Amino acid sequence: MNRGALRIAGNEAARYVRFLQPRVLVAAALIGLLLGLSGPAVRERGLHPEAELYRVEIDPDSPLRPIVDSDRAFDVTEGVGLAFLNGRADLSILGENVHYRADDDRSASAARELELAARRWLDQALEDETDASAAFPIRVNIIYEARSLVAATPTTPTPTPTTAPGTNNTSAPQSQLVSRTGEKQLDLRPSQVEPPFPIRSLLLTFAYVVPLNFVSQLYAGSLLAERTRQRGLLLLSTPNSGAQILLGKSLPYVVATLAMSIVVTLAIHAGLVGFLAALPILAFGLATTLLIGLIARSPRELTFLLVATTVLFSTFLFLPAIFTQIHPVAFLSPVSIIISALRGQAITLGSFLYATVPLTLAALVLTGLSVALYREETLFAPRGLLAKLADAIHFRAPSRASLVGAGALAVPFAIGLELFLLIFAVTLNLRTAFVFFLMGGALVEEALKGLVAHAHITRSGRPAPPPLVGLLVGGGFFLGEKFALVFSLVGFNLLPLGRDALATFGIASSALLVFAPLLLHTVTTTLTAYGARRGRTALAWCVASLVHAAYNATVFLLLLPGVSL
Amino acid sequence: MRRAWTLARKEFRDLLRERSVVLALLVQFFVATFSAFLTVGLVGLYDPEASDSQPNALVAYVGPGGFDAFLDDAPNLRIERPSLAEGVAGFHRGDYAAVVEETYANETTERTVTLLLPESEIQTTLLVTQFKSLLRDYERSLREDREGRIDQTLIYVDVPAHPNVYYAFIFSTLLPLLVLTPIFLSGAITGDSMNHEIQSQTLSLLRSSPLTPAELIVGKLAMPVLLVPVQVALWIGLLRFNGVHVANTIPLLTFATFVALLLSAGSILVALHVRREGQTQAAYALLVLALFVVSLLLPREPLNLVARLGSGAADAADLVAVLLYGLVAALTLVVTLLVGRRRLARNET
Repeated sequence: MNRGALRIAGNEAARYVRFLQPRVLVAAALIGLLLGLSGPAVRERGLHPEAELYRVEIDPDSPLRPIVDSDRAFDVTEGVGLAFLNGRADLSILGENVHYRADDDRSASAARELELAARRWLDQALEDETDASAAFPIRVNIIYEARSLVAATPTTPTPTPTTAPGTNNTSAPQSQLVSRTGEKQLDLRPSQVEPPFPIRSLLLTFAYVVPLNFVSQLYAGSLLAERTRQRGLLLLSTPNSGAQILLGKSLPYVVATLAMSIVVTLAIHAGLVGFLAALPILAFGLATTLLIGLIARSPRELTFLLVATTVLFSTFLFLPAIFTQIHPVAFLSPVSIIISALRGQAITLGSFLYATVPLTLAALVLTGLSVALYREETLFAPRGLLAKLADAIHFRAPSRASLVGAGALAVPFAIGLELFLLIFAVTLNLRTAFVFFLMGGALVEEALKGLVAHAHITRSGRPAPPPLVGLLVGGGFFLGEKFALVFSLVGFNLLPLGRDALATFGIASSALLVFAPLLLHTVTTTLTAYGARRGRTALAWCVASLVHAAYNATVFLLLLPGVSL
Repeated sequence: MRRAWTLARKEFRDLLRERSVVLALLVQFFVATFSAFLTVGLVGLYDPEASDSQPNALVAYVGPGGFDAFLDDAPNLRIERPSLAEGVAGFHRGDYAAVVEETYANETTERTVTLLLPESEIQTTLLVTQFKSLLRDYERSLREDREGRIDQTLIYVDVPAHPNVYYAFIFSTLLPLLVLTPIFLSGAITGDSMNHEIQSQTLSLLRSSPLTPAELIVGKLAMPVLLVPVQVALWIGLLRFNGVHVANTIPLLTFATFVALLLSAGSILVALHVRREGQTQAAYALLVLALFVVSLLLPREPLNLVARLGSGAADAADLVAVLLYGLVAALTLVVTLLVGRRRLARNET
């Protein structure tokens, strides 16, 4: 790092210090005071959007009266059934009898809510009982233990119970399962049993993402302001290179993000592993922000691109909640690692790398493209987003040999985008999902390879002939895929279960099948390259995708003859 | 106001040209499909016992008897009674989905039920959910057996109702989110648009047009605000398409428009004070956060109001609340116009 970059970083940080004028501080103090004053009250009241959702009519002497009063969801009026008959109440309670309308969703939901409220209320009322074994007669222990069914390892030998099984001690038998070493929840009441859905830990990891969004807004805004006011031009005329300027401008935000993530890590007790797993998330978030800040043409476009990528990225991070049972998919998100760290589970190096390397690679690629954009020719040109991307790709991959690398680096993005297709596909029925995924996967892969080919053909002074471009880019993509396959095999010691769905990985069962994908990628990318030369990239992309989809369908039907569609 | 309308039409064309509206709708559509998919998980969080997907499973029961009767009654569960060691071995071979061990000293004491379940398998979530419900039934039957030892009368309410398990979730969580998201975005784009004029110094061009400051502000506001009821109506239509009938459509759309006006006017205020781009957005986000927290103290806070309106539980008080939100929005607009006139007249741009 040199002094120029540091000076720019200092200037950037100073903007925020200057921003802290008295009136800003007063405004901030006012907001802080407001939040501070209302905070305790809000916390006490809680968030109850369901408050008074159901109207209950109850006779004044009903023994159920304390139950309906204990639940905020009920809007209670006294009466003997008239309001219910007139449709102005969803429930009518006369004595111990509950009347509801079975064909009315709200009335039936109200009845169900009353059932739950009664149980909660009774549990509460029984707290004061002296005979605890009558009021709360059951204690529950839950032990979660990993089973390794997929890997063909021999069955785990069962540890023999430590207490001698012959001794029949009638006084107070102890559970023998409790001595096992799984993740345990001990001494619960039945009402305290919670399913192990990791959504709570998942929400906790959003502690990283929400502050990141604030930094992103400031970061992207500052980058855009630089461009709309053409101040970047002044900076570029100094002896600093584009990379140095970007480094300097980014430094305060990177530092702020790091500081914030350390605070979050300490606050949620994620530990060192959790922190390390959070780093690629933050890096990718900042890298997308950087790229968006450099290609957006107006603040409005900036906001939408930021919101869109934030939503998509959050979805990606949410994957573990959806594919809990398919580890190779769930562990593509570093959040899986953070959740494991939060729950104190062991994390293998393989799965750690599996979760972090693709995202890190993607972040590096985006950063590289952004640096390529920080030149006078591209920074201020009011051109479309795709045109700018093509500029950046060509700047990064100017030679023919580098096209191979560009093709390979498209793979992490392909995997990520295909995961989104998978999310959509899961909601469809099998046949539609199959067609949708084959076509969608082909479109995504051809778009990524096509973008590289298009950038080379249209931006290069002496473009290579289309078949060569096809071979280089397609070959690179093929290599990237194979690398990803090996990588996931190493990461999990097993064939990924999600492989059938992630057609990306290709299927390597014979020599022909190893090289068939290479041929495919070469042919389709050649098609796109020809299209790009004639200025019809979009049309060629569609044709290439159709070819690709037809190939995918053939492979699937050949390899899975049992599947009839 | 004809001139303000001209400006508003220009804003609309800008929005279309940047394809940002299309993008916004796509994003929201994506969120909706996605959240439909997540609902299973979220409903699990909301009311675990409501989800009724129960896997067929073979369960090992070890113990003197009691809870096994409840397991037996569940149509999807089959039980075997091996020894504990066999049960655990079978569990690891994958023969048993779970091992249930029950221990107690005698008929009158507390009973301990210990569950051994596979870690991180989707079936575990469903099984635990079902076990919880069975354990509560077991608890209830034991309580009733021991009623003589309890002072409190045991009250249980049993209704054979089978409501849509998503009902409360749809109206108290999903609908408020679907209504509030476009509102938040509309404020954000109003601020952006104002900010862009200031940054690119086209505001002085607008100022030199015959537009009065008030017309300028109204023109800037109109499109983002008016797009909100359109988007919300679209959502309500989509929900209806999925068989969910949202009540009080007109009051809901009115409410959404009022709050959008409130936030958009606030956003312009922010943009007039905070000139820098990212900072405008961050300040707006902070302002909305503060407003949201404070609004939770209102007797009819926004989320609850939407839930009550949409589900049809609303009464006259809710309609009055909608009008009050409108009043606050109008006041904010007036303040924005006054501040805007001063700021724009002083040419502080």
